[in-house]
Amino acid sequence: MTIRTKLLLFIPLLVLLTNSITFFLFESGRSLQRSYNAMMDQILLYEKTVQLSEDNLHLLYSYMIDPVPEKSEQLKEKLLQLQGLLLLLAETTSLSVQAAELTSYENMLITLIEQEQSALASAESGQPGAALIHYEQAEKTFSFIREEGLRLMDAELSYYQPIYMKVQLESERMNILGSAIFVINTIISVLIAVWISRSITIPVGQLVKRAGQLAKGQLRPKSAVQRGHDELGLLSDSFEKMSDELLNLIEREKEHMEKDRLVKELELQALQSQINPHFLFNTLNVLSKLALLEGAEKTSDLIVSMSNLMRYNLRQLDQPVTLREELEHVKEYFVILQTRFRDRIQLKLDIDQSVLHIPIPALTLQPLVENAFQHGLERMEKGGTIQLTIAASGEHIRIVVADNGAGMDEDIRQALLRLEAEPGGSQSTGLGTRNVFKRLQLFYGTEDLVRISSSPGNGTTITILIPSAKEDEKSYVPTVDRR
Amino acid sequence: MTNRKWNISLIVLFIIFACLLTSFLFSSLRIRELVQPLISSTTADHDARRRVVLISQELDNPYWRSIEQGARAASADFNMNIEYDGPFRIHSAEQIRLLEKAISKKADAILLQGMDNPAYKELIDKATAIGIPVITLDTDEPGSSRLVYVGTDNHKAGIQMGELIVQASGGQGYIGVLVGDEQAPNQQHRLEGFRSVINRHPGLTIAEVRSSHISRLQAASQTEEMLLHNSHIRYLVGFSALDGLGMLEGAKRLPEQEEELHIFAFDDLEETMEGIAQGKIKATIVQQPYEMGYAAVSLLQDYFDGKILPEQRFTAAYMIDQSTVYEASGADGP
Repeated sequence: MTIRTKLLLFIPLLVLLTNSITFFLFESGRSLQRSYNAMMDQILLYEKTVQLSEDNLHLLYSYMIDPVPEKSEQLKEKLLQLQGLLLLLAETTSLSVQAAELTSYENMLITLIEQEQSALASAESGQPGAALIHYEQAEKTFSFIREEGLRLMDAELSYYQPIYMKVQLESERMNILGSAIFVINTIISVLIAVWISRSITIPVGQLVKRAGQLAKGQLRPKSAVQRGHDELGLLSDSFEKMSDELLNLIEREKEHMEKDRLVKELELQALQSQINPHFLFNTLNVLSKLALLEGAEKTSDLIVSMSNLMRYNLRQLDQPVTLREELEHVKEYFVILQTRFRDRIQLKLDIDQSVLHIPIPALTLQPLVENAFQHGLERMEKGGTIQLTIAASGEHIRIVVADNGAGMDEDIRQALLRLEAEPGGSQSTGLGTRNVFKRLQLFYGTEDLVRISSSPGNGTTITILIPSAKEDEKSYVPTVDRR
Repeated sequence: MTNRKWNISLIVLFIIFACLLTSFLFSSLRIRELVQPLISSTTADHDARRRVVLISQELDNPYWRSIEQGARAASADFNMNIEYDGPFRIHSAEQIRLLEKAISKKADAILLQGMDNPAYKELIDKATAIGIPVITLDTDEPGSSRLVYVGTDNHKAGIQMGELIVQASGGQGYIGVLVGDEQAPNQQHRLEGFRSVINRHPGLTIAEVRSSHISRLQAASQTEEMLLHNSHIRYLVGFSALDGLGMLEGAKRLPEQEEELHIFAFDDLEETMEGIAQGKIKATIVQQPYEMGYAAVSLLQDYFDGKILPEQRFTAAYMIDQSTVYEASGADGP
């Protein structure tokens, strides 16, 4: 649930709850009031009729003593009022009083009205004697009305009393329950309010803490943070993603720096061996022409190979070359070696021509072959063989450099694989195998490219698995561009 | 606090809240239920039944209560409403006032006891003049415009009593008589009937006639005086309900005469019946008040139906003595 929904749902819900409780209490109070009124109304109705009858009689009496028209008007008005009450009485029925009794009471009132009217008529037509007789009758009727009214009131009261007691009891119960409901309602409201605010403030607090850690450079969260499904959960999720991303970036940056460092090392080593490479290169060319002129063709060829070797080494090292170029370089190198050692060594090639267009970091194959010769074959009297195989193998290209030389023991093999620093100096023309392996890994972005199998006396086989070019187009970014 | 605790406490509170709310609701509904009839009773439902006012001689008199029961039974059959009223003590002025009240109530019919009083008669005439039928019960109001008299034929009852004495005495002896009220027509009629029988037997003499004023104490002292005055009285006759018991008490005060006395009573008060069962009272003439009440209301129905009514409707009176007392009092007997 998002914070917005939570607030939109719970705040109106609380308001609704409180309001409906209030309304409910109010409504039951009103119904209680209504019930009291219902009881009172009936009783008051009798009282009113008795009262009004008495007023009527007094007015009639005073009119008969002092017959002025205003009084007769007043009396007539009062009589109308009494008739109105009579209608009201006729509309109600009571549970406590029999309908017949009620009818009797009404009839008494009618009798009274009739008697008063005849008394009034007699008095107005100047017959005080007849008026007096009617008045006396009316007086008697009134005494019946009063008596009966009191009796009815009494009946109503004694009928209502047990009901009233029960209602009273219930209303007391309701008072207690009502206050209890108010208290519980308040507690619930407060708890829900606290609950909602907690659900917001706690994740915000965690987020603030996490931001503080990030600012201090602590990218990994110390403990797993509980995440809700609201906006704050999303926020803290993206927070974590951001810090992961940052960690990744730093990691990658470190790798790039390492690669650059290795290339620099390579260049430095190249510089060390070529104080003035162009001068040397030109001199070699002159030497080759001179040897040709003097008829020493073999010498000339050797010098050309030497020259090619040099030129290859002088090229830009951070530019990748194709496998074909690298293979040519290996061949040139071997020509020189064979000149030196003649039949003692032999290079066997098994090349799949279709994969020779694959890019590969410069100076990778030749150092391996050189290494195989130096450590494996140099001390052999004869029959030293280096087998170079390049073949497509599924999605990879397999490059195998195998020799049948001295081999190495397990410790050295492991050390090579772990890419540890070479103990002692190096006899190679320049680059150690570790440098080669490391550059290959950085170039292709994967470890586990190199396999070595060897044992003392049984030669060494180094297998390199490099991904096909297609897959690798993405990961191949020129070092220059990365800066 | 953990979320779990929060949830639990909220749920518990909600449950308490719901319980309180429902019990509050029930209270409120109960009040409404209690009060609903009072409020909804405003749907006017006036009783269309005829209102019949029955004015008795005395409100809680068992004789009149029997009449009331008869009237109520008939009113249930004929769908009328009986309003029973009467003075707390026997009081004729109050009876007149109650009649006036019934007239001012515009009752549909009035049942009353006649009392041979001109003011009363005038009121009865007034009632019939404005269209209220009046029926006299127990005692007639002669000369009034009452519709019909329902009750015992008092003259005949007197004759019955006379024949009872003749039978018991064998035509010889002195008789002391008590009447409830010398002015009351029903008493007078009974006495007349009684006299007509006694006069035919020369051996029987009515020694004295006294009034008990419908009071037991009065009856007792009047009996005592009468016996002292006429020591040869052997037969005592009472013509109103309380006379029999009064005579019994009066006779007890004169032990030497008591044993030779024969007491004859009127009506079936419980104590009278006990007296008969114990042999202290010889016999009683019993009226049928229930029948009177019932007959009066059925006559009213006939009147409302437009039938022509007789002038009088007599209900039978019969004698109970020791041989029939158990049947009469039914299960009450020993």
